[in-house]
Amino acid sequence: MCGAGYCAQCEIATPTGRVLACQAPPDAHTGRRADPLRPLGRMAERVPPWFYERRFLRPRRLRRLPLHLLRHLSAAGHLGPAAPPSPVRRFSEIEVETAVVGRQDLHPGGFAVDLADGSLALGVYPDRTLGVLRGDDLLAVRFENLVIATGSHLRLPPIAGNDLPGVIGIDGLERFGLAGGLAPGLRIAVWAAAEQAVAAERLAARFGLEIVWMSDRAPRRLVGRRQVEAVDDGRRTACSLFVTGARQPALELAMQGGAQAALTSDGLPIVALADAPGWMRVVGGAARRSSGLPDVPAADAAFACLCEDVRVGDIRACVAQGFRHPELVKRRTGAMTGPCQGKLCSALVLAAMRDLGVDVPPTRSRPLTRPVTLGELAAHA
Amino acid sequence: MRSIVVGAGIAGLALAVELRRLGWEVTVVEARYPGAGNSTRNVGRVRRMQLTADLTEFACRAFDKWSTVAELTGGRNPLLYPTRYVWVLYDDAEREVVEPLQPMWGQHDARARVVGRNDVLDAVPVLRGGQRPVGGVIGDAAMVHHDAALYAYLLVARERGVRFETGTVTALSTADGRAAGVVTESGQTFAGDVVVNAAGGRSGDVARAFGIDAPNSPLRREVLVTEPSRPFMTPVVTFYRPQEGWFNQTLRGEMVAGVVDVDEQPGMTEESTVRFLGRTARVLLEKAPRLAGLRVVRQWAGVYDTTPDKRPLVGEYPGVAGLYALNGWSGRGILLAPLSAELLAREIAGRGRDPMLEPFDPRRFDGVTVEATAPGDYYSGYAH
Repeated sequence: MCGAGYCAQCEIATPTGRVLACQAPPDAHTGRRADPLRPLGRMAERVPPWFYERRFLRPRRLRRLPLHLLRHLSAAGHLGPAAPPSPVRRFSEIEVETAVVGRQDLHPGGFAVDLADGSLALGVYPDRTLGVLRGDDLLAVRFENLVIATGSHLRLPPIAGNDLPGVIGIDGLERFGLAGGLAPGLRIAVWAAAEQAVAAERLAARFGLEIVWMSDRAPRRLVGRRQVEAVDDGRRTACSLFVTGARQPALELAMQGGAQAALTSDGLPIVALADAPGWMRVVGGAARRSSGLPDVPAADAAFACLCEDVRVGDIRACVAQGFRHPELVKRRTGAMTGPCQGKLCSALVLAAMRDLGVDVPPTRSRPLTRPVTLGELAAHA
Repeated sequence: MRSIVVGAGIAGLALAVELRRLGWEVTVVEARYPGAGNSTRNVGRVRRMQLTADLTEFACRAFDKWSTVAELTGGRNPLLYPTRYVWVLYDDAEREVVEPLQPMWGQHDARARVVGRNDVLDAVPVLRGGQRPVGGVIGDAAMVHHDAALYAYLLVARERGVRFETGTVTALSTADGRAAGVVTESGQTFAGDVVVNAAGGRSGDVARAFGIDAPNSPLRREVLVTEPSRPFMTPVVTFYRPQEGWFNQTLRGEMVAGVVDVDEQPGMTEESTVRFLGRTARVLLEKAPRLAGLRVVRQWAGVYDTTPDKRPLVGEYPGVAGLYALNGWSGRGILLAPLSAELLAREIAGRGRDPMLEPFDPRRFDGVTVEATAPGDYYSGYAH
């Protein structure tokens, strides 16, 4: 869904273990991950918020239920077999004038950290330090100035059915197309405005896709059983993909460095930059101040957090219970604590809380900017 | 009678609930939000076995107290997950430290025993293929879901009429040499007959703002957490060679882990470091190479509120009547707080001081000059 390795929504099983489809070479695609607990999920869709806690965790006779049995009701993957040991990285501290994270063309020069060249910024640490994985090194990079050109990623649409396979961002669509995953004639629905809409049309033309529905107003819901089958805005339009142009600026590094961000109040809310320290420059898509799309009320049945299975209704029930602070809702529901660390969902969670009159400072952003294996991190540090 | 509790962490909330049970009015003053400090920056491990007799005796009772927390909080489930503690030994010298402790553990029903290498590997199969242990200690332990426990106390405290105020406490108000309330940064005053410092990692600062020469010093501990996977280990694991480290898999399937920096200096910081990631991953994979494919999603840090003898401060401070300490957990807050809160509430309500609290008397440091606690080696901290 994020198309960039942030979330775990496109995880697939391959002969060598779990991989993210968006990060894997095309020949690794051996089909969707089988989920033996899917029927349980179907049942869970029909129960109200906190049903599980009220019915299974609170009654005295069930409280002693061996919790280790519940652990096995997990849809997560298995720990893989022992892999051959990977080399342990060197660790060094270096000093640079200007560090640039993300697209170099937006700020040529400086110490470059870009996923496209295989280097990854892990996070911004105190004393103007950037954690970087590059080559055989784990680096603590002390900088004078930091340029953040990390772009933006998908913002979860707040409508029912937003968890169905087939919901995809515009850059995800491009990646999918380039990997040969889009059959010509495929029917797609596009929720986008302005330059995002133009980009979607261009991609549709390039890959021979048929745009059957397009609007800057979100449909009421997405319909489908195993994947998106139709958009419903009063009238159903059959389609195979729902392409969303709702984008959330990638501000994790900026916020870790002390920048202030706030939920926008024009149109579909996103978490946008409000103020940054003098040594930090945020450029490009990361500096986006508005979603450019009209707001749409969040549906109770819509997923607020896909990684941890939290719906908008759960967030509302949590606020009604007295958890009137984003940090408390995060810990109470688990929302924003999964592999994507809130990248897809934080704007949706905060917006649902603000609708209930709660003050919503964004939750604390912490490294890492994306999941990294222990094997890749091991260093003589 | 009215009481002011500084800090809405697990200790402050547990004390608020216990005081309400005894009929006291309670106002909790919190600087940030409930659990903003170390009550949610820990991994919720509780164990019976400790290195000294007094701590072991208290820890066993504190451990038993945990199984009553659900009743105490109106049937809310703190997700206490009983498991085993596996303390892995990599050095014969470590065996020589722990073997003589076995009779003491037996005497206090600590349910811990020193075992050989094979027992350790059977209990924690992910250690196979890694550095060879020389043995270990296996004992009864549990994981508490710290958020579930904290919120159980929070919800029942609200239900029972505990008042919650937001503000940073900067001074104590006194009347006739007795504590009479607290003053916050914004100038608000909250009056009470008793004031309790339950400010966790900031307890030393709060005590000093109250004019108390407190021995508390914060010591950072860092943590990383991985994405969930199917259960691959049940016990919680700790080791002390080549340096202190620990890991366990939570009920949600995530693995939490940390390997400490031997040069970590005392001081208040909740910031993470780059080094920690590299160090923790390397040391962990030397011991459990099968973990190499687990993806780390987040790192964070908190502090131990340490005291020179690694024992908490529970009781009345010297010098000011009506001013109490409930802090200094030295890394054992989740284990010790519920029982300590119960015993302190009884003391405050005039029902006498439990003899088990004697080693935790805040007066023990009165007139003693203490340096900031140096981290040093784990074992040496308990040698006496």
